[in-house]
Amino acid sequence: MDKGSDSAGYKRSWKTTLYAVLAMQGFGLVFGSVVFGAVVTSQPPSAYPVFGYGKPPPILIDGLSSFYWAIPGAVIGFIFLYLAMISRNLPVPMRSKMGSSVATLKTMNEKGD
Amino acid sequence: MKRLGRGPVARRWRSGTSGHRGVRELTGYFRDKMGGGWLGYRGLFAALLASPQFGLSVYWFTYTSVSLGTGTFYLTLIPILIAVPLIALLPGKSGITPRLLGTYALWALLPYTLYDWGRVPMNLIFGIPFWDHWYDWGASIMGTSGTIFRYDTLTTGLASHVLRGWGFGVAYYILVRRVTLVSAFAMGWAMTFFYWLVFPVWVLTDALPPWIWWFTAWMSHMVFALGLWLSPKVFAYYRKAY
Repeated sequence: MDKGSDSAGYKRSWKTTLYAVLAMQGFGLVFGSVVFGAVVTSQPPSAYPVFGYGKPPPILIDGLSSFYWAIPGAVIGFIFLYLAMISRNLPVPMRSKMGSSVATLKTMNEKGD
Repeated sequence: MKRLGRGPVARRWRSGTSGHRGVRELTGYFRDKMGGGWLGYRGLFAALLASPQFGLSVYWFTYTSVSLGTGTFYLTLIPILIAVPLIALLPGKSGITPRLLGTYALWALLPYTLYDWGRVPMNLIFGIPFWDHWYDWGASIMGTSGTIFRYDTLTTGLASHVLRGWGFGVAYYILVRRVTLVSAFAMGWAMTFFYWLVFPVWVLTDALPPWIWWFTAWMSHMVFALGLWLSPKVFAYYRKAY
């Protein structure tokens, strides 16, 4: 069983893969922004010098909380999640206009990533 | 068994186009011994082989009160010694044969290698080292006294670091049904979250990390994810070549 070459029946298109990965990046930015904000506002600064000069404090912009970065992250995440959902390849049986025969739509995306 | 009848909903269920299909696939994924199977033997084996992180976590969470040598012995060496014979003796329980475990072990060599190489430019450009903790780990494992900035502490810390990256790689290959870019990035993100949460609170207790530290942590784990995805392809290429 070789997972690396196991692509039989694997129908996720490169578009879906790309959108899903980008959606993850967006939601990851949300998480990172929140954790960054929580850490820099809760953890004490350096109490003693490290290697003689001390580590620099984080760069913070007055009035621009890191929590705000969660907003574009969420927007990016939801947009690409939506795109990933609608680009998924699912074979959908569809009735013809005559009502008796069933035609299956051609698979739109047959390549695996 | 539930009777579904002959209506349109039942037809969609049988044809696999119903929304319930996703739920059934998801629960089946966590029980499938041939891939996924997080709630079964695969989950157990993945946890045991990712144990290098457990040893380090105890060292961190006790603020180094428990030495990394102790953590590595009890929470890394022993779990791996349990995992390897169990996997070999019970291939029918997990679908993992000794040969497959060996394959995963080889695949897992690439991701952490790319992770480390991905951090080199960050050191050259921004001056963010990634081997500074290796001295601490090596000194804790060996019980070094005096200065810890020595080659023996550095190489021991490096070995600990390699073991950890390798363990995460093997755990990923055990837990996924199929290696895909999406699942590889999901693993990379899980590791990034853990890194972001643990380091600023338990490890970098003397200073607040600047934003570039957060960026470097994210970037290097995304490179790790690419390695997870790429490694089976490289392996397949060379297996055909020889």
